[in-house]
Amino acid sequence: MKGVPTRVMSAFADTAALVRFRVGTIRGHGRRVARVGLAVALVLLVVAAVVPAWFPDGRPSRIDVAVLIPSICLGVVLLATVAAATSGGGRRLFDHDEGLAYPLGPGVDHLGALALAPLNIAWILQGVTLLGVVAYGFGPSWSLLPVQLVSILWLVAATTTAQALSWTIEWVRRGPGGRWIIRAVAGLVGGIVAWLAWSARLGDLLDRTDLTKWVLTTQLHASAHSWWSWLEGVTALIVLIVVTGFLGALMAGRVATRLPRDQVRLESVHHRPRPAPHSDLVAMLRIDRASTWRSVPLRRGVFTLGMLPGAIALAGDMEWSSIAILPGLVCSGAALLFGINAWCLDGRGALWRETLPVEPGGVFLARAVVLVEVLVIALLPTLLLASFRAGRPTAEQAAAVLCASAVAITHVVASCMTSSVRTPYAADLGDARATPAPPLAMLSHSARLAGATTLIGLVFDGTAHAPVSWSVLVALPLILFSCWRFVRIASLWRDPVVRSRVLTTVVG
Amino acid sequence: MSSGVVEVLGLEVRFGGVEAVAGVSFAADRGEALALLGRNGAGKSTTMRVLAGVIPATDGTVMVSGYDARRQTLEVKRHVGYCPDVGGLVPRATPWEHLQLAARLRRMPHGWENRARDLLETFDLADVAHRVTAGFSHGMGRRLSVVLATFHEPDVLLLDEPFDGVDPLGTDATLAEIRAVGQRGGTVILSTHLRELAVQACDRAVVLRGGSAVATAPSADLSGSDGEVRYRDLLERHLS
Repeated sequence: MKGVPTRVMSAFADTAALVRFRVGTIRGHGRRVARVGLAVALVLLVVAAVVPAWFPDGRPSRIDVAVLIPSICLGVVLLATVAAATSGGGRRLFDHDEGLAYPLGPGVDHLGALALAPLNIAWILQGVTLLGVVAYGFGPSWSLLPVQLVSILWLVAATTTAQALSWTIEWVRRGPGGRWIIRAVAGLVGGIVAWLAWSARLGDLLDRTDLTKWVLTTQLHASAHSWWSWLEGVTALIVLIVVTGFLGALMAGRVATRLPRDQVRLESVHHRPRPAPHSDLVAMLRIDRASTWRSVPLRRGVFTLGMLPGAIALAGDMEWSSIAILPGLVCSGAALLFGINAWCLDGRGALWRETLPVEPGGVFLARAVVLVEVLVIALLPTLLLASFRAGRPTAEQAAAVLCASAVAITHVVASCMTSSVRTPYAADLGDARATPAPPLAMLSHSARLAGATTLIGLVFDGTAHAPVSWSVLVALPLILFSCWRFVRIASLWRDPVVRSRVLTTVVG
Repeated sequence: MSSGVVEVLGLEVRFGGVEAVAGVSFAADRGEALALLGRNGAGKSTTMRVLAGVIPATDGTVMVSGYDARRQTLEVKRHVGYCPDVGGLVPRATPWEHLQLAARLRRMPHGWENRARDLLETFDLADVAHRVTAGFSHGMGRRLSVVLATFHEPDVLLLDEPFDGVDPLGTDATLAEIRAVGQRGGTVILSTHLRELAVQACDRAVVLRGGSAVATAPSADLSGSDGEVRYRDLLERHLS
């Protein structure tokens, strides 16, 4: 029996070997894109950590911004926990089947999930926000360096804490009655947050909470040159990282001893046969919908995307003009569930489906329709939740939100179908931790989609203050452009050489 | 070369710089079962995929039931039943949903349900007809792939490694189905590395090596221990 230090060292060594292996599999154009992408993310974080400090003190003032730091710190943990818990324990460095033949313990799985956590647009944006707010809040001074060291340590601690929490949630979920326990707890927490938001007490509660105030206190010690107190805070952060990191590994081991109940249930349950479909399109839609809604990561992902942004809008008392930014964010998030690699829904069955005598255009259309359905299903609850406190919209605001939704959906569908044909991957979406593409590809897709859809949101945030015709006039060319992209990629899909390349890649 | 239901002449398939099939020719007549034998990477599965209309040939002529596999792909797909070498099943769909989709897209007449139920019974899959295939064992998946390939009683049945990981009862059911296709005048192309089963199921065998056909022989010539020596000799002679 190996001692704990040996096992920890061994887990780090195995994880490093797997990371090297994964990096080695990225070749050619993909390697260049990965290098540029990572460099951009790093530069973005460094710029956010330094540049805002030199912005002139104005509205809001540095103090007004600095008091937000504890809430942002809390938000980082909460969002990281939701992301990791929704995906059943975070991203995987290696597929379950690939790892079976090797003596890889749950510690490697845990470290792999931690290593991949920052390769996520939400994590990077939160990091940029925290570092930027801290830089502006504390202003230009050489002590910004120890202040930002605290921010970086908090980002690491938040990630390890979120990972440990997500393993614990997954362990409960896989236990007896686990699904219902998690649903009940999530419902209860959601209900309390909704009530607090409705009664305008959430802000006060966040202001009063002491959970993350000590992070700001440690930063203030650095700013005031109280180095012993600062060192105490830094030590506490390092201890938190080590303890939550260790607890996470422990819980990952516990999770590995329990079967993934959601997946097992979906694979073993009998599905009642339905009457024969009355058209080819309905037949294809039916099997594509089955592939979507019987996938654990897709179900969880759509539910989370449908609820979380709307809940944040509800809590933040968002106005209708700002709600116009939500359709883009939700659609870009939902696209990452399967849309960016739409043919992976068929898994290895893609080859059999290609032998069926049907026009390729019909298959393409069915897949796009199912993608639109997923986007709409994720978007509707978001808009509904966000509308509760926003009151009755004016015609201009309603037009802006509707046009933003239509533009975001058509843009995302065109982009997804294009990437599905141009850069397919082999992926099995049965497992809760599965993603439709490798981690760096996911980051690249999410950055591109989020960038474009945020821009769409900002444009319609602006047109919400203008006459209705402005929203419509802006939306029309954008929708037509997406339709042209869609038609162009659909015609490329009809090429048997292109189709065979996509299908043989997806089949693996 | 005699004209047949399946005619392959100078087939070449290249994936970028890799030549998967390099000038394969063979033909199979109505009612005939032909085996494609060879080592891993010999080009058997790629040839089968071209015959199924899934990947286009880079060069050469492939005619299936009188249709050009490159230009009349939809017609070829209507006349062919294909069991792919890997998977071949949509993971989160049930066998019955696979059969429903196939019946609809292949325009099968009313009453297809009876044949579907019979096949599922024969291949011992009736109990799992409404469970998603992701939970299936490898052998169950192979058996269902054979069911899907033969379900619409195609003119040409293409079976790529149908015995891989399949139990003896499933193997017997597959052999019986191959015989039934022959009896009704259909053509079977069987790709496998299991020589004895190929000999049992087929009339003739084409031996592939490095993407090329190196010999065509009656299956009986490759039977038993003498046949094994002959088969190994065919492969090794062309290694040099």
